[in-house]
Amino acid sequence: MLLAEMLQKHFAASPVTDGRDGWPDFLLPEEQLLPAMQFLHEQMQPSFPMLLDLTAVDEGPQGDSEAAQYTLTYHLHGLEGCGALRLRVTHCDAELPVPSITGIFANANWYEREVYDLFGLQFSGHPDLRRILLPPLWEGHPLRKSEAIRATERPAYRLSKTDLQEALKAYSDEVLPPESGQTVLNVGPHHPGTHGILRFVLKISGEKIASVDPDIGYHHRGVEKIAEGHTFHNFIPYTDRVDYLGGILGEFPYVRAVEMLADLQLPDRAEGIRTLLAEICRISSHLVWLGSYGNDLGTMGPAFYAFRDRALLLDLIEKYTGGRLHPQFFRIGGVAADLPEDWRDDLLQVLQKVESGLRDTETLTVGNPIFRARTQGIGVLSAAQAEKWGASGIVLRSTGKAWDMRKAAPYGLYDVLDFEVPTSTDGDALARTQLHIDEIRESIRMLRQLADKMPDGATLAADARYALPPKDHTLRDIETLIHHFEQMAGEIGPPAGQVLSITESARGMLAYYIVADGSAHPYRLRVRTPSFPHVQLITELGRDTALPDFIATIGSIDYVLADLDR
Amino acid sequence: MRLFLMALGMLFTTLVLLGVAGFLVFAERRVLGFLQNRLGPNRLGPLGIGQALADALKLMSKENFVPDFADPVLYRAAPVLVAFSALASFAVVPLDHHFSWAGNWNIGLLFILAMSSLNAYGVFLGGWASGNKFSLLGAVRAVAQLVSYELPMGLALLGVVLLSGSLSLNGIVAAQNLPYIVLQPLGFVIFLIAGVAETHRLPFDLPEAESELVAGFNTEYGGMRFGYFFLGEYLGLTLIAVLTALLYLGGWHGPWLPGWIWLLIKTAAVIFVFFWLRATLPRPRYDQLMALGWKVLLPLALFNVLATALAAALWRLA
Repeated sequence: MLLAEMLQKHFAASPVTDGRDGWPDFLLPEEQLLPAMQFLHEQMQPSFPMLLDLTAVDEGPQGDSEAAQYTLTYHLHGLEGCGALRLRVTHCDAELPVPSITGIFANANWYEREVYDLFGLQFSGHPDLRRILLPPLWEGHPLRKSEAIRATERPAYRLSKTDLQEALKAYSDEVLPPESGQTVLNVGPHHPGTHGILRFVLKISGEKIASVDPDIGYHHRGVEKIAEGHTFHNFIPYTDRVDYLGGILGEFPYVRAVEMLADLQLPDRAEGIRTLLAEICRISSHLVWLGSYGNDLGTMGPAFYAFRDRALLLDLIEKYTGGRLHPQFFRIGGVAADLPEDWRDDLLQVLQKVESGLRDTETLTVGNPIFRARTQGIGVLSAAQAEKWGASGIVLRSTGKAWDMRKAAPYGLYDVLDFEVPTSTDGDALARTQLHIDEIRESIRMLRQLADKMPDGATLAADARYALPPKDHTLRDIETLIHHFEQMAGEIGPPAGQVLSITESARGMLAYYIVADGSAHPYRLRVRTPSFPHVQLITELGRDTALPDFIATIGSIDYVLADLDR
Repeated sequence: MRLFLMALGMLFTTLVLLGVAGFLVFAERRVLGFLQNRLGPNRLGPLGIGQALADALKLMSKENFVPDFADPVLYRAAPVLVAFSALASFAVVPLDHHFSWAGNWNIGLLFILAMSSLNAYGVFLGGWASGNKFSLLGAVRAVAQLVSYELPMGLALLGVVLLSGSLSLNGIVAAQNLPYIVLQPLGFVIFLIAGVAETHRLPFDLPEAESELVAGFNTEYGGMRFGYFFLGEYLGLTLIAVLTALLYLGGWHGPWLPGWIWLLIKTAAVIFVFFWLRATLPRPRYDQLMALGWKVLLPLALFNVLATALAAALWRLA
């Protein structure tokens, strides 16, 4: 393989074989990191334009040394050219810095800050290395294995008055040089335009924005650390809540990752039910976006029409799964239950209502001249910019790239469904609005096809060693009963290995990277969310706009706060 | 005795107007609910009408709070100014031919325009005195918007004045054998658009612009002081609606029913249009709003005045 030869010959890379996802996977010496990245980004044909993810793994003390050793994991993505590529770098001394790749991949900026924040690793050559998710006053680096998993294992947190005053300084004009003629405007943490707790520190003169610094982390719940304390099955409910609007869409990449680790084959019906629920959730998430984006632009109507239709979809999900927003319905190896008998009629009825309701919402948004005047040519993004910042989903597709994981690397039943990937070349807020509407239409098409050709069969994989054993079988044969018991008691997990599973969530490429050591708990679980690079993108896209356009821009860049901070 | 009765009458008028404003808040919420596929407040009293009272009580019982960083005098004065200017304008509004405080006053329209300028002061001072950046941005927007829309509004009114030969509202209504909407269709549209901008309601609510400026000029206000701003907004809305009815829709002229009922019906219809706009339209950007005011409405209003004057002169010659 050409890529492998190049990397081995020029950069002393050695292939690693514990990956279970089939992506090329190499261990690089640390001093070769920068040249290799440069080469892959600029000279390699086909090149890797996008840094998909950058994270670290605490390997614990190795050999004789007392101190922990770290592995930095870089996931590059070639988009149309080729798939993903994993590069690992072993870093032995946490006191020494790692070379920063921000000069090659702009979006590494935040990823390296995150590694610095959560692992305490320094990066040399990073322009702005400070904490990103945790408050600046936080002590410790929670993703290190030496840190406790449960909050109750730590002493209670206390914030002294002087510390608080120090922290509040970041909100004032004091951070500005007085002669600049600018002022600091804090859009957030509590602001109606940010859709949740997120702070944009704007430096403005008049209503013109000179610079944007998003302050994130208000929703940080430490999902990645929590995962390390849970069994693989136990963790599923958390995945719904990472992107709380997506629901099922968050479960998809996670269960797929574990299934890839365990090499499970799913029955067709399980895949069909998963695809069905995922598309319903996609429509419901897009509808919320449409409604709230209308609200950003001051029109109240679309929110109510969109939420009316979304309620129908939630009722449907409730009927199928028992849950509404966060059904936690997927299981490792399948789904929790079969669909109710009359699911087809309900689905078709709801789809018809949603389709006709969508026409109203469309007229109220992209059909309205004021709405068009507010969004046309606003927040314009080029394809090169989108790749540079690691954008995906509708944000990427609005720049003309027809990149959708459902088409590019089909999972579920997407390979048998007939659907288009709507794109636009305008790259502006209006294009993104239109794409949301078009994608809802495509999802409705897919659901109608699924209603026709839903396969029959079991809903759980037969391999009860790693898949969830069917309950009725456990009552009949001892083998299944033992597996059921061992799984539920946290005795066994999938085989050791690493896996990266990428799916298309409502917002873009949602990926789970799992390092398993054979135990019942993930050794390291990394959630690569689409919102994180999208918000980072706003630092560039929001600059030199006026305040109203800024709100129109950030609204059109699809992000969910919980998805951003995890 | 006469003075006492007058004072009593004024108090009564004010209370009725406050009642109208309170009722409009409730009516708007119900109408918006109806237009947006939901119910709106429907719990308290028949149709939920008690909601108006409950809202007022809630606002009045809240703490009168002045933020640390605000200018205490102006912060207190601004809402009063807004409510006062809106209330005072109604002195020249007649309900019927013989039923008004100063409907015959020969500078009635000018007085209303003057009061509306005073209203702009209230909004600006409120935003300025709050000591909040969002408030300040809202206040700056408010002044620019009010100034730019007062011009086309005044010019549109000039068309009416030219036709009727009077500045008193009684006189103007009396002169309408034919409702002026027929003779002044352009003036009517300009007046209505400028009226929405003057009362800064959606789609022209840029001084408040909730999703951008949190609550704009009244971000730092709460309790009854916020209530005054609210009152000012809804009284302004009523004022624009009743003026539209008086100036363009023939006022109390109408068959069968008593005149004041006709006026109420026409006013209510205009108010409904305001609600409807709010339920449907997004908010334009600030510069788009200014461009509309200066580049479209103002030239059109000028043209309207010239055309009216020319037509009237020719009419007289013929």
